[in-house]
Amino acid sequence: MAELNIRNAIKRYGPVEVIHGIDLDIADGEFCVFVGPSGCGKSTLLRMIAGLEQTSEGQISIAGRDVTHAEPAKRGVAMVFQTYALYPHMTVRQNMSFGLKIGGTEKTEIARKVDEAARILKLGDYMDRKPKALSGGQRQRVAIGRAIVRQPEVFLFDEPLSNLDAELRVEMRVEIARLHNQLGATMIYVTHDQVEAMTMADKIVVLRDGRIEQVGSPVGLYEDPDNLFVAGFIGSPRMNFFAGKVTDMHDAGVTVTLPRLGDVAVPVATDAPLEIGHAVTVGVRPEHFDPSGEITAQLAIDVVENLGGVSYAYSTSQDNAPPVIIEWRGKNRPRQGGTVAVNFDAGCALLFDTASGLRLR
Amino acid sequence: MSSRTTKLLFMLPALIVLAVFFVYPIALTFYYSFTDFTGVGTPEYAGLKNYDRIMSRSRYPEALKVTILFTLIVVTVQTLAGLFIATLLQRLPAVRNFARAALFTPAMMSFVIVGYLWQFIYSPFNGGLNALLTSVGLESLTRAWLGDPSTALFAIAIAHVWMFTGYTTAIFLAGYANIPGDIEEAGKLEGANSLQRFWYLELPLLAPSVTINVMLSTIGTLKTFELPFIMTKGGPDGATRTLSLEIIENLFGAYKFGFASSLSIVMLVIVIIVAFVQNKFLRGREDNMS
Repeated sequence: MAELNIRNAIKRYGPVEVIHGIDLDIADGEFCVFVGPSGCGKSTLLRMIAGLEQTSEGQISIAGRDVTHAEPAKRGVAMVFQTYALYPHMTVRQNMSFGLKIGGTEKTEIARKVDEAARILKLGDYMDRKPKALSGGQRQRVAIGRAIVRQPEVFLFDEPLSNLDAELRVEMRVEIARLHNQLGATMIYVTHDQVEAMTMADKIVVLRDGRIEQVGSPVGLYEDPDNLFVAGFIGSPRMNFFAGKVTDMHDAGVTVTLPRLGDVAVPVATDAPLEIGHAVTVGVRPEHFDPSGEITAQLAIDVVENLGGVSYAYSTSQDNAPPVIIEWRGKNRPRQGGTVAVNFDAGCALLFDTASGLRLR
Repeated sequence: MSSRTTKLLFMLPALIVLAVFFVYPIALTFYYSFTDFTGVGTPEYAGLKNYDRIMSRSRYPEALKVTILFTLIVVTVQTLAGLFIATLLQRLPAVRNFARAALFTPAMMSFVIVGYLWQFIYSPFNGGLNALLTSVGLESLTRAWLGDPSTALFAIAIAHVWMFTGYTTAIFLAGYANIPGDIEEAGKLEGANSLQRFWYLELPLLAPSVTINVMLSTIGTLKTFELPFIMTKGGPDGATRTLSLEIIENLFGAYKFGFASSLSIVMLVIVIIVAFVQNKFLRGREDNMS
């Protein structure tokens, strides 16, 4: 197992640059998740690490070895594809043995490694079946088994659970996490599903338009995002954003007035050098609305989603802005069509510069 | 109207076309094969005389042997050449489309043009092939390619292969397009080089394309008469006289409609048997592969 270091990695397709100088360090044994919207470059970056895409500039090293231009097979990586990429004409055993067989490994050694991987993944009963006779989850396990037998330094997963149904996805998510604990391997996992990112990762890398927006632990990103994009992308339902203006300044921070919440004044702690009238955005997560909070506002509720233990109330404004989402637990949940008083603590509010989108700390 | 009647009504036009242009001519040919029909007058019943003639004269088993040998050469060389070129083009995406179109051009030409073109290439005097051999110092190999019984069939087979390799290549390239890119990439990541990927991954996954190519070229070549007819008229010494050529000669040369019909029935039976056996074997291989 090994650490992975990326220095100023750039990928160009002709004149079009799609990955703009990525710097990233992934520690030995870390479970790192690349997350971001479609087209953000997360799969491209993974494929650059795998060697399936040429790196136009910069350096990628695995275990201190420069592999930037090395053949995919010589990088010490194994990849699990979204489509499983199993060889349809081979049995499960042949699929898992293929890499070792063409690498010239002895038959007894191949059998030992394949049987061990089959035991870990509980594939023993399916070894003589062909992929077409397996379910989606079993196929994905075979794909993972194929990666395990090669004993790579880094495992790469490219949206491996996207083709599975919701129930199986949860099952496989737990299985991959268990596998990570068991093998202690360095794993890089690409997904657009932030639940997968939040539940599995030691480290999340949020990407947008070929650039890293923020790197950190799941809780770190959730509680302390660097910018509006990360704040909005991490967390489900998404964070509420309220446009406002600085109306007062004091020692501990500024007071911001939020027109969307009836010009309520919110004192926000910040060291950022701001002026009266500066356009800012205040972010409040749906679960931070709490009846005991000191800030109060009135909101008209147009839709309520009741999920049993929790309800989400949506308040849509006239200006086509995304609706304000409020999480409700316990009794006295709001009714559709009514107006409710919502409260939150100013300490939960995050302050962002509206123009640059950056967090004001 | 019941659903069954509706279905029958929709099928009726196709059934009529099939009956008139497919079943009726075959039935008529079968009937004529037991007569001494000459194209005019009333056919006289001749029993198994025509079939007996086919079996008892060495000329016809000989023609069958030529046809089978010709088919074997063409199908083998054409399939292997098509597979080789498609595999090469698969790895050269920049020229793939142009090369596919260029290779397909001969298949769009008339047999007459191709026949005369290759007749010129094989010509003993000033022919392209002999000129080429002379220019590279291999004058001893020059010969009348179409006049020598030992080379004539091979020479025509090469012309046939040249004409249809582009077709075979196009089918193999379509087969390649059906192999998911992920499988190739998985192979690369597992350390398989280009040759290993071809042998262990691509070739098994091309099984459906192999079936189509072998079936189409076998059936097409078994029936062929055009190039032997244009280039050698079945000569020299019957070296290129295929079964189809015999049928044409008996039909339009000797006006032996009855006998030509019996030869046609023999050929039909052979084509059906070969196609059936090939289909069973190749389909079995496909099932095994997927």
